[in-house]
Amino acid sequence: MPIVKVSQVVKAMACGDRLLVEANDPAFQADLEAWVRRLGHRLVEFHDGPVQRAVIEKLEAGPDGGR
Amino acid sequence: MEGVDQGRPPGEESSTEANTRATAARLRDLELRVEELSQAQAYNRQGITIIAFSGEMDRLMAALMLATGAAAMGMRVSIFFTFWALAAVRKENNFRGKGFTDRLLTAMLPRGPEKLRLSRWNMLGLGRPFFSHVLRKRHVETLASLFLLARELGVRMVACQTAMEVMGLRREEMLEGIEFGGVATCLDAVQNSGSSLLI
Repeated sequence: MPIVKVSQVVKAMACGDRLLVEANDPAFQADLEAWVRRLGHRLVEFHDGPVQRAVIEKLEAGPDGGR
Repeated sequence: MEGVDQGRPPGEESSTEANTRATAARLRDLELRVEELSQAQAYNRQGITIIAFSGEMDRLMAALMLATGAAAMGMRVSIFFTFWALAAVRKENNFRGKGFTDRLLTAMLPRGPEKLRLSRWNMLGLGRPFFSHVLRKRHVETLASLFLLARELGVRMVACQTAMEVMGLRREEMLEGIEFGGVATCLDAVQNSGSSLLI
């Protein structure tokens, strides 16, 4: 589950840091969008393909994303 | 509200002013209460409780995937293991000091996440190794690794003490990091969650 890995890495990052993720999970885009919305971070870019690439920017935790 | 000041001598400002003050105080109380409630609601929305009853690998995989996913979403997650699901959170056979019935139960109940059967396509036990192989090949977490991940992510896992007694299981036979609790512990978690699932 890429989203679990992403959450573990992002948790350790500082606000404003960006993470480049490569994944091959058909649900990755949908999951990532839901995750970003919930945690209040930003999906900077997303490229679909056999290997998906996403850039996430960590923002300050929103009202929902305390942890 | 009218008529409260009827007995008062006219000219004393008090009645309307007192009324205004009371209304203002009441409004403040209500505002506080609304704030409290919306905070409680937001807190609950961030929690999920899963009651694991089934003891089959496939069903528990669904439970553990939801749990780890929820933890990744920043939610508070509790899983209650009761009845057949207890098989997934036990680690060793301990026959010492047990009577006949408990020994029988101990021997019959599968031991640990790697020993569980499938709810379908079990094929006399061949289904499990086959699926484990498929999962590994497709880079999907196995039930055993999901348990490790859940613990790492801080998922709260509670074994039902009553069901343990029925199954003749002792605390030292259960996996590390497992808490113990009963119906009240379970209901308390359910009440503090936005959603609860029985799997």
